[in-house]
Amino acid sequence: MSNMPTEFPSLGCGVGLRTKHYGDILNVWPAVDWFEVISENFMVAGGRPLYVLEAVRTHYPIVLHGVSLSIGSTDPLRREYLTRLKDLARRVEPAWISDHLCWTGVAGHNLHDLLPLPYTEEAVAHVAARVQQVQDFLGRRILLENVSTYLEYRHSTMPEWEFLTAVVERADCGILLDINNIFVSAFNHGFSPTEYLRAVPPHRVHQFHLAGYSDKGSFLHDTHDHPVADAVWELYAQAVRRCGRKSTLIEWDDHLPSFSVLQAEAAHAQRLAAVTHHAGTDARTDAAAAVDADYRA
Amino acid sequence: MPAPTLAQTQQLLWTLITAPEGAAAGLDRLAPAARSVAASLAHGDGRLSAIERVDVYANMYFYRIRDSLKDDFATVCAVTGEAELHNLITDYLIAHPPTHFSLRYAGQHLPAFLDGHALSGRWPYLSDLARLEWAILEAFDATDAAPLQPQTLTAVPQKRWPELRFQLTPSLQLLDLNWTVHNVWRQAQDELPLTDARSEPTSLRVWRQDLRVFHQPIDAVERAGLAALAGGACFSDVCERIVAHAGEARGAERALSLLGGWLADGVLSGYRLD
Repeated sequence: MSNMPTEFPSLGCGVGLRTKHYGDILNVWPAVDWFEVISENFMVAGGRPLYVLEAVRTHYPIVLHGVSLSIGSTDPLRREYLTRLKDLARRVEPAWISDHLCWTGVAGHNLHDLLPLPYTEEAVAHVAARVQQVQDFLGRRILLENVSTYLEYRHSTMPEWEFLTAVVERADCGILLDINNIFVSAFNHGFSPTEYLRAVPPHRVHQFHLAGYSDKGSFLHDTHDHPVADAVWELYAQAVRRCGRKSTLIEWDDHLPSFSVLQAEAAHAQRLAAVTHHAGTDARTDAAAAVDADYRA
Repeated sequence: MPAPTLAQTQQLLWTLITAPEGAAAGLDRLAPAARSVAASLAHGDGRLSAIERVDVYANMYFYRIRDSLKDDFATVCAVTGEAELHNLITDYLIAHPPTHFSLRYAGQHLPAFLDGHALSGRWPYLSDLARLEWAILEAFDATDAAPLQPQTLTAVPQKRWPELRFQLTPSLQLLDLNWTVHNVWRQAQDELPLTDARSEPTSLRVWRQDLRVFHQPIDAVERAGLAALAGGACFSDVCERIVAHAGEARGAERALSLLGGWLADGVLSGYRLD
């Protein structure tokens, strides 16, 4: 790993690149800091997806965010998948590559979902070893994202935040800290999101995700189809105070609003992070509260 | 009871999530030993029991793939309607649980699956329609290739034209169908009421030009010409094939007309002169 690039540049606040907004983006080249793309959508031979991606890349930094690495699966790592991911990275030169701390399938199947891992020493060792293989193959460190979860295993021997920390330290990779996922999982399982934040090693965090959820009554569902909730903005401010201003992405995948709405969310994240970071205290400052109140008005 | 291994955990959860009648039914169908492990796999509480939590994932699995297939096979779904679609996807996922890393390929088996499905009793053209929609998908993100420009051919001496071996654009697919499903597809695109396809041998060429995908019916003469090109035949052999189908009187004229159309449509991406 000593020869691998270790830089995760600070990109500012970005949004996801989604088909619905291709026209807006390619015609106007809007003011946004960067784009995150779903890697698998562009692991194709040609056509419009790659045309758009390469056009966007000429104007903005991009990050490849995958959903099928399945780093926690007990199936072998997919060589074909990694090769195509590496080829895509060579083509578009992303700022970094990320995926999720989860598994997506077993016995050759893909559930196309981000399934939770048991928080056990067996899983830590298994995942860390695979992350090292992936990083060696790609020639770079990756970021792993904490997923939202709807079940926890009885045989877990540690809380999620200790599991996340153990994996990234042993694998020497980074964290994509999804603030909404912390909030959703905390509600679903009854733990404190603040306790989660306080346990995450700040030096490993290189990106934040912010997204909206759906309230199903008995659980919160990480649906990425709403604005970021007030409580998640507050948790984000806590995360910035703890980890510093890291590249932040607004994730909105369904019931997509106009691009200007995403821009507004990104701009709010930018302002909130700036005010919070400069405040430099643990208590929520009046200035940060004012930024929040102004946005929500 | 010892804690399940990571592999056991994942296999059991996969089984419960993919059970077509829901996680509880999937749990009941397990052998007693596996059922005992699975039943105690997850925490439950007053808000959601353990099996209800598994069902959150089971629902996401089904509906995520259903929504993806609705996008990829929009006209098939318009023909069947929501209720029948739900049953179709349920049956399809039992037979073909996804294996590819990309959701883009979740429907790769649907055209063939529809051949033997009960819905084809009501709509016998459904499989052909799915084949057309899949071909459109394949063309959409096929390998890029610049179209052969007509003026490039002016550099080829006339006496060497018979030796030309044209290359077809990578996105080109030839479909041999039994129903006029391209009409149903067009009706859906134009938001017109759908009428059933006619039972009639139908060949279509599907291809991408620049970033747009096209398809159109072709006759037996063009089908023969394109098949010859796809097989690597030289231009003289292609023309012979065309003449054999079109007849001596019209064959040469037809060959040149087809060549002009293929060039204009971007179906040809290059040539080789040995």
